[in-house]
Amino acid sequence: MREEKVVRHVLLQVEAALDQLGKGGSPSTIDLRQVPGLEAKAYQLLKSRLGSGEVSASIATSDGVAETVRAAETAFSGVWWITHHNGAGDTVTEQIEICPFPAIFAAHPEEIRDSAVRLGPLCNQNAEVEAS
Amino acid sequence: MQRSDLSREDATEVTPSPELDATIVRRLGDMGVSRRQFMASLTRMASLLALPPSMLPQLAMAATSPTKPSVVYMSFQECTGCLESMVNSFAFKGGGTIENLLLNVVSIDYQETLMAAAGAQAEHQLASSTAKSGYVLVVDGSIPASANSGYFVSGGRSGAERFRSAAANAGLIVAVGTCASFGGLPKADPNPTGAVSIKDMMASLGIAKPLINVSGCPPIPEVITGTILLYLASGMPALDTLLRPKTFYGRTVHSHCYREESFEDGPRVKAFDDAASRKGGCLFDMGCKGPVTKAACSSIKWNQGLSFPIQSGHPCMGCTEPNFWDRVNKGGKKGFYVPLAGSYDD
Ligand code: SF4
Repeated sequence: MREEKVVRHVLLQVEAALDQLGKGGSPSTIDLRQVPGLEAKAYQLLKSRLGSGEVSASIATSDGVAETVRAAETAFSGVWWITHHNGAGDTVTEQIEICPFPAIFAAHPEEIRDSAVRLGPLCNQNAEVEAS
Repeated sequence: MQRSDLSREDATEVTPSPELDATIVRRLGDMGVSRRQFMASLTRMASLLALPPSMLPQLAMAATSPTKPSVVYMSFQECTGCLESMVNSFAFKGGGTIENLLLNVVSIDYQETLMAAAGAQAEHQLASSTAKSGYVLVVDGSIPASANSGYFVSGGRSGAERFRSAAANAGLIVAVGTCASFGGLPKADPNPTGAVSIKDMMASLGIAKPLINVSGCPPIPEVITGTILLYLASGMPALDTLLRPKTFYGRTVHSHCYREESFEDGPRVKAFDDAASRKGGCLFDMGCKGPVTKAACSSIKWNQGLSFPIQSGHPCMGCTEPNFWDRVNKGGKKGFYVPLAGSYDD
């Protein structure tokens, strides 16, 4: 069956990417829009083969109304199913990311440094309140 | 299936996940843009552009670059729909979208409709912006072939003269819309002004510069934005024989149309508001030009992916193709509601 072939192909790619990650290599991504032949049946089959895991996370729009990105761990640790939505909530694209945790969710080192700088005045403010 | 069974045609690209460097994150912070929303927008755009996710840092660098490439945007015989489409792509969503950022990363140094200056002041601005070399010249509208036709005269100069001097120092010319790309409505029979496309105008003036056609009446906002971003990030994109970016014009509307099943198996719509029409049947017999029209309407769609003409019940008019107003259809007849001649399977 055509969909079996397409799904096995993607799974082999995921397996190779996991192997690389397990040996200390870099995270990698598969853009499902760009997988040849991933039509409805193959898509469903791939989703059911990968199953679901324990963790999910989402990013809300700036006004907090709808989510723009949702990541769900699959039944395989280190394999994440990422869904991108548009403003109307429709799915725009989906990706499989092979990584410990998708980078878009993790705080960037630069943001962590910035947080420390922004928190400084708040600490001083508390110190002033205690002193008075 | 073993790894050795994987042919090149089958190849799914597994690419390194993108990571933004500290410079880009700092720039986003300075611009008040959320890194996560920015990355999400960029990922969606890259996916639509069929770019590997590993290209995201390059796109991010282009979209946050402090040096702003100069854009001179000139309008000729057009209806302002193309500019309206492009500006709406910025206006729809606030905050950290790529479209918004693009407005900030290119310096639109001349655009008659958007700029406050008028008359001699505007002409002065055009002269000074086109005096330096290397800017991107965006053009919408077609131009009367003859400099002496009397049609389209602005600032005392003909369209041909205005285009010739504006193109002289341009690094790239982008024809936005079907009028600029192929002549469009002004060139439709009987073409009273003797209008020609930008490509033909360049040929007759002996201008040899890189040209990208972004056809459509108007083009999808994301397609205009995406073409510019693609060029800024990685240079000249791959073009089809009509000089349109293959990424957006590589497939027909029909090939992604959700009504395709009833194209094959019926029932097709025979009259607007008949039972098949209400069920979302194929509009081929109502004159749909989807099978011969290369465009991203059925994949990217319009208004943030909300809908596109066929989804709203109207057949595709074929507006991204040359001479779409005058296409000869079944029975040798012209018209948007006359079915295509011949049979089409995709
Ligand atoms: S003919 Fe038109 S409506 Fe019918 S499937 Fe093709 S694009 Fe869709």
